[in-house]
Amino acid sequence: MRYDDPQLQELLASAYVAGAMQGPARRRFEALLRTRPALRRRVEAWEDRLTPLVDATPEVAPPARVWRALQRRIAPASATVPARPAGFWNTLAFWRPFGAVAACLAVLVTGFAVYQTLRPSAGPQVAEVAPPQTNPSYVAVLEDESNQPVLVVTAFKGPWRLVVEPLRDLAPYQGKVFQVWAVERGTGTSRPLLQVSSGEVLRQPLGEAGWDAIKTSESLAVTLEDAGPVPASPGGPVLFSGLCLNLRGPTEI
Amino acid sequence: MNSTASRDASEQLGQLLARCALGDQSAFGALYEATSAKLFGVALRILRREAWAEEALQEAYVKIWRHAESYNPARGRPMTWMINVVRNQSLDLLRRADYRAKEDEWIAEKDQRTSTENPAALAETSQEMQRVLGCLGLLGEEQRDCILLSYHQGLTPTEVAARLKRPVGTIKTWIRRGLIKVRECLDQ
Repeated sequence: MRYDDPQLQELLASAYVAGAMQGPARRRFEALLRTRPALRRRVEAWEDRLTPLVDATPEVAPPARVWRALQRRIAPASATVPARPAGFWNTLAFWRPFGAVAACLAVLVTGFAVYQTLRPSAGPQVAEVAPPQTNPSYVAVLEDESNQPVLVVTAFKGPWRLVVEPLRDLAPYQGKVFQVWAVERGTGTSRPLLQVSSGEVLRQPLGEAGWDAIKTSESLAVTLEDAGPVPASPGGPVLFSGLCLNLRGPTEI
Repeated sequence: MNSTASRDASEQLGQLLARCALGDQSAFGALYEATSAKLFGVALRILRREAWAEEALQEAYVKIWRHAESYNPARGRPMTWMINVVRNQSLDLLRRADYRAKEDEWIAEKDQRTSTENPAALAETSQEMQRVLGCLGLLGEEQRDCILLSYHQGLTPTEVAARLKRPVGTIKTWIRRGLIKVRECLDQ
């Protein structure tokens, strides 16, 4: 594969450490770093070479509020008294340790938030005769390996459709796309849903097979694949994943 | 700082990180005490606005706390690891479009403590820094500026090109070839 070329690896690692990469390239490179230890080692070697350059950067004492904020953030969850309004995703992170029940609640809240956000614009994008149902049926918050949310996928019915909201700019390298998969409950079989190649919100009608894939899925996952025909099964490692939750409860499955 | 003192300080930071990995908050406090002024200086130099640098610093220390166990003492100096955590955090913040959009609203004079090159600090550079600067000295002046503008201020090749009034392609080539030369020089 192209990224195994040592010269290219060296070029990318040096540009990354030197701070010379544009934003989307940086994010793509960081995604590559997570799965490629050889690349990681090249980056570390460049860090060792160039970091002495900051030796002459003047020290500046940060204001005390930074430490106060840090103390709140590193304290055990039980002792946390948020003294400043926590961001929405921080709230999600805060609940994570309390287990599946709290996580489901948080995801329900997410679903509601997504529904609220998308409601005014979801309608006109999809051709239909009857007014589309605007309550989401399924939602998955896909996270990267450091548990940062990357993608919110929401499935609606009447008519069946998917809304994919990237939470960061997902621009893959040229010739690559991010492929979203539905991972089936029980069997673990991955079925392709759609492809993402930018930070834009995507709205896509779903066929019966797609709806079935969502309904029977345990989770959704994203891999980096070659652009072109949709592969039958994932070729690359899973970059992002998240449980796919039925927002109407289990009776409707 | 002589090399023995530097080794001792490095060892101490390594021990503090090891205690952080075990959830020791007092060790985290000591680590912050010992390193935050340096790391804030690094963030401020890239971001040039105190509010942004504070945000980057806070996120960087949360990462340091959470990933303290991933710091590998065999790899090298703890400070190198921490500096690059804060550098990456700062560069990510700088590259976010919503921050860039506010560029025009920012007035340099208002941020009094904006870091600039400090001649006094330059006079007491470490041996390692002098070595890197020596290798950078093998490059042409403009080529060296390209690398330093990227490294210290996080400027993209496009921004460096605008600053130096040169084509972007030239800047990219200079940076690429310049870094290869620096590597050859340092790895000798």
